[in-house]
Amino acid sequence: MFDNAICPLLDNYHGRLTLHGSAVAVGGHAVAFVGLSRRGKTTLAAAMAKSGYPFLCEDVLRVRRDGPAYVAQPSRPVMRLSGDSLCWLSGEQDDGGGKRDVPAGDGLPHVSGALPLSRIYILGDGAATSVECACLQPAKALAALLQHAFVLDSEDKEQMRAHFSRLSDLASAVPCRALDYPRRFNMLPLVVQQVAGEPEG
Amino acid sequence: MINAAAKISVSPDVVSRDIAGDTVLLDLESGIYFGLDAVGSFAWSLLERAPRTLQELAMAVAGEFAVDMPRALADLGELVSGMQEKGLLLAD
Repeated sequence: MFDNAICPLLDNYHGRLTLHGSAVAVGGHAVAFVGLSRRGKTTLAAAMAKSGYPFLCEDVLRVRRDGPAYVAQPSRPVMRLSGDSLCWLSGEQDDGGGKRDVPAGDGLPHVSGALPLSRIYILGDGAATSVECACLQPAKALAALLQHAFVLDSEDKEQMRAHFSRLSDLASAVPCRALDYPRRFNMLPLVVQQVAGEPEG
Repeated sequence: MINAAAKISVSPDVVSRDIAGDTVLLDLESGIYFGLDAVGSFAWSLLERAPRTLQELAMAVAGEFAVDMPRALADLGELVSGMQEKGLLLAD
């Protein structure tokens, strides 16, 4: 709760940029997945990690500006997975016990250094019937990112103004895609293929 | 419909950003965001610089987008009224 909810709010309040999202490393760059709760950010990051693309973070995406570019920062090497996701990843029986912390390891590699952020995927609601990925114009990307940023006090207009400005800069600098797919585990290899197969930028 | 002589201005509670030719507005009061098309973005950019009447806005839009004045007045009147209702624009 403190790491995943309170710290991100405080981060954004203090002028940093933190989004509700996960990130993985693909070809020396970070690729991020942002979305509302239960849209599959962690499960997709886990599927990517399982396929050899180490995860940086699984629920809270901290982004730092580095000149004209952005850098995604790693979080602790732990993934909080639901029972069914864990079952799919490990082959173990789902014990129905809810979410569990799974430490990074051989089957779930983690990258501990910050990486340049090459693109952001905004996860859809799962209504797609196949893997669908489309480039978002920066203005649409900004509108989408606004939904996924932690805001501590929406009454504080100066904070909101500054936060909007930071998100606008991010949306202008980092390509964003709308990504949707049926939320079935057997679709994840195709999603991984789609994400990993895209050229940088 | 808004009075053609009223001066229209942007609300101080709205923050905007032009990104690649499109404008995104965030209403700081409600937290709701809006997107503007090319004509709306152009009109917004004019209003950010100074309050203007609907007539003045329509003249600028008609010149920029090669549309006739009646059409510009009608379209902008609708847009401005809608934005005024949402609190994005003010009219004195």
